[in-house]
Amino acid sequence: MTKPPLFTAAQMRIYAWFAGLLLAWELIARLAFGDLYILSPPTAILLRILEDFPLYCRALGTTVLEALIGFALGNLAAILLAILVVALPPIERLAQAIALVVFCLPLVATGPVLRVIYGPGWGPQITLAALSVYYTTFVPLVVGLRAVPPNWLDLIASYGRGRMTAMTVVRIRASLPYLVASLKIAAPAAFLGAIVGEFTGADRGIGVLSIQAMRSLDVDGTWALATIASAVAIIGYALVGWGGRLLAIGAPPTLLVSPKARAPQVLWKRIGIAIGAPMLSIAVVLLLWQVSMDALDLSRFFAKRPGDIWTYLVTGGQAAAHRSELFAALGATMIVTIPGYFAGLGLGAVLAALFCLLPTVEKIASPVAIALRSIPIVVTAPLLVLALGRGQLGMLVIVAVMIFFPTLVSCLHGLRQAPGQVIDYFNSFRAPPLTQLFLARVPAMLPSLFAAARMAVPMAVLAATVAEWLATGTGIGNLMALTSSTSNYNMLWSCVAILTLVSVTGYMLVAMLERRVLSHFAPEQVIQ
Amino acid sequence: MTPKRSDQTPAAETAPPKVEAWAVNKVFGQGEAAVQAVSDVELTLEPGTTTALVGPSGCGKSTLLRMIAGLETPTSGAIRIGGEEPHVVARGGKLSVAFQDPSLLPWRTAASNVALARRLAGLPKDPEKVQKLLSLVGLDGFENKRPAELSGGMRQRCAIARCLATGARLLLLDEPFGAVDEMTRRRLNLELPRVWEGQGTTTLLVTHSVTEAVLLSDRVIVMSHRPARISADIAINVERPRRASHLTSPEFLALVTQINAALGIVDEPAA
Repeated sequence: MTKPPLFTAAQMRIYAWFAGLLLAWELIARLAFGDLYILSPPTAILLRILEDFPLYCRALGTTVLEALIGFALGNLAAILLAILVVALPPIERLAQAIALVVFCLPLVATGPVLRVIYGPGWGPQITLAALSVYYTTFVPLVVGLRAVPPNWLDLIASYGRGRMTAMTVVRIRASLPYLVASLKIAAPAAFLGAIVGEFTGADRGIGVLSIQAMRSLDVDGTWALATIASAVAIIGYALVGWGGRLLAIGAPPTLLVSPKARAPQVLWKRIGIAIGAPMLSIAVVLLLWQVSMDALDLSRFFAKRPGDIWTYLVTGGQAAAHRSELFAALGATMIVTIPGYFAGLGLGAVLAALFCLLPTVEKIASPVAIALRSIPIVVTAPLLVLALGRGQLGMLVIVAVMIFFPTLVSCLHGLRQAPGQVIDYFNSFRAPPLTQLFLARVPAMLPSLFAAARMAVPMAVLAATVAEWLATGTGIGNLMALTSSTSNYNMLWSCVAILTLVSVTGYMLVAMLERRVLSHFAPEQVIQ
Repeated sequence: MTPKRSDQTPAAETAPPKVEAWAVNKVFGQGEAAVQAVSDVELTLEPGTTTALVGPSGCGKSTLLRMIAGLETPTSGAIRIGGEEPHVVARGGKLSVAFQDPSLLPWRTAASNVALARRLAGLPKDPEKVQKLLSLVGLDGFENKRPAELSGGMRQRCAIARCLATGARLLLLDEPFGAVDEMTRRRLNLELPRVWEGQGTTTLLVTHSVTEAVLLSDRVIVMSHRPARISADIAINVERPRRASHLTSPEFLALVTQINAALGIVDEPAA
């Protein structure tokens, strides 16, 4: 075997582009933004990192440790739950619903609630880190545990062995590629969770330093911290990917048609499930809420139960006033979140399509996009607030940027899924690139686009509320910041409840649209 | 993990079983969407013989094999293997199935794929036997290769070795040479039966190939499509071991013609 060259030509080109970009950045920052407190030149960032190295190292140690513990706990929970769901299919609907609700909890608001429950210490940061990884591990893992060629299960059955053997001999091993892919995404996500936890009241860590730097208009410091956070996120992503390659787990088994669970044919049964399942899920979530608070014997003063919130918002004396305050704040947030969501999603999809038409641009931009995708954009929120100001436009951009990168990467992946033979067929007619794009590649991209769109819903809410919490002084994020500092726990819990409801509803709407569209374009992707 | 069955008689000491099917029906789906996959099949496989099932795609031959393997339950009727229900026999590790797709686990080497069968059947490990089987199917030197590193024919042979690893006296072969090119297929057709003919097994072979059916079996059963039932039962009295020269012998060609006729492959009468 000949040793491959240290750098390929393509890699050299990428490094050259990076160097050019850094140079341009330096010049623009020095010449155009000299005294505007927005953009730091790379050299100043580097100097600052060297200068405050011991301080940053201590903070980073704390945050990384929190993230690691959260990463381990969140993924462990996801793995166990996924195995349970696949082993006991009847509980799946319920487990999926509860998992989704927990995924949709607004991390920013959950932070202060957890803070009062745990008291000082690392509890909230670790919990938030765990919460931000488990869903992205759970969902693909359930798919992976199921995506086993039926022949392999027949083999097990032909020796008279049952589900346990199928699980241990085949399913768990076959799902490992899915697990590695999820863990790669989970590494930066855990870091993000820990930092959001620190934003909402901790005494040390990268998140704490970022807030201090932003509030004191320390531009170089903010940039330095955002750079460190981004670098750590990318390193985490790369490390897990490297570990996965080291284990040589291989590609997931190929399935031509995914195994389908048939919906019951009888009409009344379908209606029963359509209405009953969500009702049951809501009931179970409320019950879990009540029971967990009671079981931990938490004070009613800060650990509100479902009944308290119902009284506060619906039946209580001043319920109407509370409601109008809550909905006004929610409205202000949604006005920027919704356009930001669609802008990020649209830009990601359109740019992916454009890359597809211009392969040379894709070669350069795609690795950059993948690197940037692994940066939890919220980590750079203080920076974006500094750069874009505290107005609505700035927030809209933060939301859009947060969603843009995952969508772009996901869509690029989807565009490549168009079967080679189909593309060959189009080429045999010398079909123009645009025709190929719309007739062959875009349909192949749809499943990825919708997957990104679903996961982006809670992300958009997170981005908006973090920006509001940190800077803008508007919307529901600000309301949560205010109520947590004035110990108005009724309103704080109401915010958590309403934001969760909004996220779950948004997610469900996208999922419904997805089923409609995919049943036409990619029926093998539609389960149920 | 799989429990070891210490109370079981070693499969090698048992005789090949008799397989009986009475009035077996299989319906998939319900109501208007129901499909009758197998209707009123009566079948006896004599101990120690090889029987081939041929017929057009979708005639229910694979479904019949899967029912004998205990992978599907008949909608009505009964199947007994040596007087026992198929799933009981399967649980005892006393039958072995080779699937159309080799169904090797991609993360296991050839040797450990073969060894897996013994583990699934609850038999003790036997690396020597695994090695012997692998060399029997011509995979010497490929023990530690993964399926991705083997050719299509090698994978198929590995699956056959796995099928033989438990010493089961009932072999159910569902198109075991289906994914193999014509040349390799013919070679496997001639080589592999020697492996199981020597040790005394009852074998059921499902195949699309009439030539393969005649070459391998003592009896060919032709199934028809709609209704999915047995339409002909033809004894193959060609001396064993079968050789390539048989392929062109007049008696062999006569049998092939007879089966083709039963399948409806005949010239249109001249107008």
